Amino acid sequence: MANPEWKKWTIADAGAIKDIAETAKALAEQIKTTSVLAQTAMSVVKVIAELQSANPFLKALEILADEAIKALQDMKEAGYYYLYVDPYSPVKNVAPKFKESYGFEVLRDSSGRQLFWNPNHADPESTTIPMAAVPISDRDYPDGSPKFVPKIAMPRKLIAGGWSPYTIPWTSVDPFEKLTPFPMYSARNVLETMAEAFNDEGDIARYETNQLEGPPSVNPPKDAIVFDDLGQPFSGWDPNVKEYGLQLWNMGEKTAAGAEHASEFLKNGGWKSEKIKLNKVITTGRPMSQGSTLGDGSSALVLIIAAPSYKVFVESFFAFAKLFEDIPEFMEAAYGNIMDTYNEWADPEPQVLTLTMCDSKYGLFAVGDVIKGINYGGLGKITKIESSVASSIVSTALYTITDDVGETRKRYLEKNMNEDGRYQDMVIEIKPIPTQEAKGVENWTPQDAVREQEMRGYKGTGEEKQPNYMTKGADTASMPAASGAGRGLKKSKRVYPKYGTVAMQKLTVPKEAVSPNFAGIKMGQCIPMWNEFFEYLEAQVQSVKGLTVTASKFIQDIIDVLEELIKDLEEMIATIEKFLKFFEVDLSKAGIYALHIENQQDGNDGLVSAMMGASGLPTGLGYAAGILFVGVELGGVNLLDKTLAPLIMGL
Amino acid sequence: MVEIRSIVMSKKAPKWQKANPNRTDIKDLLNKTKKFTEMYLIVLKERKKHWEMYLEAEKEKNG
Repeated sequence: MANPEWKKWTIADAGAIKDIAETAKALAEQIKTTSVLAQTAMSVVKVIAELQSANPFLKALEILADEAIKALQDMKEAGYYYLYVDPYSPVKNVAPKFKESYGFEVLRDSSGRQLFWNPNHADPESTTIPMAAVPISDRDYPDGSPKFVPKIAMPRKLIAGGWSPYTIPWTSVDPFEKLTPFPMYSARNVLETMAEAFNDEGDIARYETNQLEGPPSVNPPKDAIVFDDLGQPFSGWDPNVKEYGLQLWNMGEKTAAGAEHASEFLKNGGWKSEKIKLNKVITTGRPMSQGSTLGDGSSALVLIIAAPSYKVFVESFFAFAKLFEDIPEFMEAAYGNIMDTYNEWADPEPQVLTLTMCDSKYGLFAVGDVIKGINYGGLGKITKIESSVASSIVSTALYTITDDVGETRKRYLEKNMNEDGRYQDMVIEIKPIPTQEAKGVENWTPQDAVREQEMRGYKGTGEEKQPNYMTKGADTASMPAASGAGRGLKKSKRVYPKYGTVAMQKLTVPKEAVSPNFAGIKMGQCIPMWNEFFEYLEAQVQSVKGLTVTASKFIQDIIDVLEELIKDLEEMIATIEKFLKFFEVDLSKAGIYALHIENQQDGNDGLVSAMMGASGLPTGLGYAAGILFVGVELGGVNLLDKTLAPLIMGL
Repeated sequence: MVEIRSIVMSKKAPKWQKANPNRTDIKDLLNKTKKFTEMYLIVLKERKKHWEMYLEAEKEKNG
C-alpha cells in the first residue's frame, strides 16, 4: 500500500480537463480563423456588400473567443500542493481498521436484550432476566463474587460482540450496537494522517539530474556553480549525482563569479527565460519542506468526505470523485469499484444448497425460514424450495435363515429405513445474510448441521442495523426434557428448531460488477467528438478556399458546406449542454466538510495546529477519506485563498 | 504622556462547514464556449440565407 504523498495539482493541467482546455482553445482560434477564411472566399465572388449584416456578429464572436481563452488562462495559473488520504477505494493509501472484540454468544430475549441468570440458584432457569432488569443490589454476592452472569448459548460459540470475562457487563454498552460490517477510518483518523504528512521528513522534493550535452555554459561540469529557482548560486554540483533536493539551473541572477551579467538583456531579467534546467522533478515533497522555493505565507483547504454510515460515505465519495476527476487519484478511485464491498453486504448473490436428512417431525424448511450452519458457518433466508424428495437411508441387516432340516444360513438384506419419508433431501435457494464474523457472506460446509433461526434484536445501528439471528429455542435448551408417559407425561417447554444437514453448495457465477452511480456521461466522453469536429471543420474550410469551379456551382457548394457546418454546430451545442449537465451535481446533501485556513505565517506547524484545533466537525463520522490542498503565498498573493477556496466553499 | 497602543485584529478561527463544492471553473468555460458556438451558428445561418438569395438572383438574371 502506498503511503499518502504530497503532490502538485494545477486545475487545467490534468486528464480530461486538459483536453477540454485545449479543445476549447482550438475552438476559439478556429472560429476566428474560419471567419476570416470564409470572408476571403466570399470576397472572390464579390458578395461582401450583401453580407455586411453579419459583421457585428463576427466582432462579438471574437470577443467571446477571447473570453474563453482568458478563462483557460485563469485556470492554468493556479497550482496547489495536495495530499490525498483514501482508506477505501482501489487507490487506498491508508489502512482502515475493524474495531470489535470476540466473545461467547449470550442468549437474548425477543427484543434482543442480553439475558442474565444466577446459575447457582436451586432453579437457575427461573432466575433468567434481561440484564437491565437485574437489581443493582442483586448483581453480586456480599463477598463481591458475581451473582448474576450472562446466560451463554450452548454449545458455546465465539461471535463478534460476544461476552468476554474481561468486559464488565454492567457498565458497558451492548457490544452489538457498535458492530459494523465495514472497516472504519474516521474523519479524525484522516485529519491525524494529514497532520503526520506535514511532518513526514522523508517526503521531500527530489529532482533527477538531466543527462545534458553541450558546452559548459549549458552543461556545467563538476564543481561548477549552479543556481536555484530564484537565481541564487550553489556550489557542490556534480552531474554524476543522480538526485538533488531542489530544482537547479545553469544560469542565475548574477554570474558564477557573483558579478552582473555582461549582456543588458540577461541583466534585466532575461536570465529567467534563457536558463536551462539541470534536473527534473520526481517527487514534489511536502509543502514548505527544505529545498522548496516558496513564499512566507501558506493557507490550506481541507475537504473531508465523511459519513456515519458506509452507504452514505460511498455515495458522497462517488459524487465528489466524479466532480474532481481531473485529480488523478479521484479519477482512479471513481472508476474502481468501491461499491463492491457495500453491494456484497447489501445485496449478495443467491446460493443454492442441497440439504439432506431434513426431519419432517420438526417441520420441513419453508420459504421465509432463516437457516444457519451451526459449526462452520453459513446464514441465509430461504427464497425458494426447488425440490424435496425422501432421503435414501438404506441399512444392511444380517439375517440367519433356518431351513426344514435345521441348517442355518446367513444372508445380508437391505432395508429402507425411511419408508415413511420422514427424512427429506431438499434443494433450496437462499438469499445469504452476511455475518459480522466473516464481514460478508459465508459458504456452507458439507456435513455441517443446519438449524432454523429466529430473530433476537439487532446488530449495529442506523443504516447498518441488521437483524440478529439465534438458533430457534436456544434459550429453552437448558429447560427439562419431557418425562413420563400417558397421564403422567410431563411436557417440556423446550422449543425445537427445524433441522437438516448440509450435503453440498452449488457454485454460482458472480454477476458483472457495475458501478451504479456511473451509468451516465463521463467527463472526457465528449472530447473525441470535439476533436473530430474540428478536423472536419478545418478540412471543409480548406476545400472552400480551394474551389475553382463556376460561380453557380461554387455558390451551391458553399451552401452545402454551410448546411453541414450548421448541423455540426447544433450537435456541438447539444453536446456542450449534456456536458454542462454532468457538472450540475448537487453535493449539498452529501457528507462533505470543508475547512479553509486562510493565509498565515506560521508554516506547516500553523496549518497543522489550525487544522487539528478547528471546531465544527461533527462527531461519529466513522467512514472518511479526504484531500488537503495547500497554497503558498507568491508575490504577496495566495491563489488558494483567491481562487480555489471560493470555488469549493461556494463563497 | 499619552500612551499609544495598537490593536491587532485577530483572524477568525477557521471552522469546519458543510460544503457543496462545484466546478464553476469548468462550467464557466463551457458556457462561454457554448455562447460563441451559438453566435457562430447565427452567423452561418445568416450567411447561408444570403448565399441562397444570391443564388436565386443569379438564376433569375441568367434566365
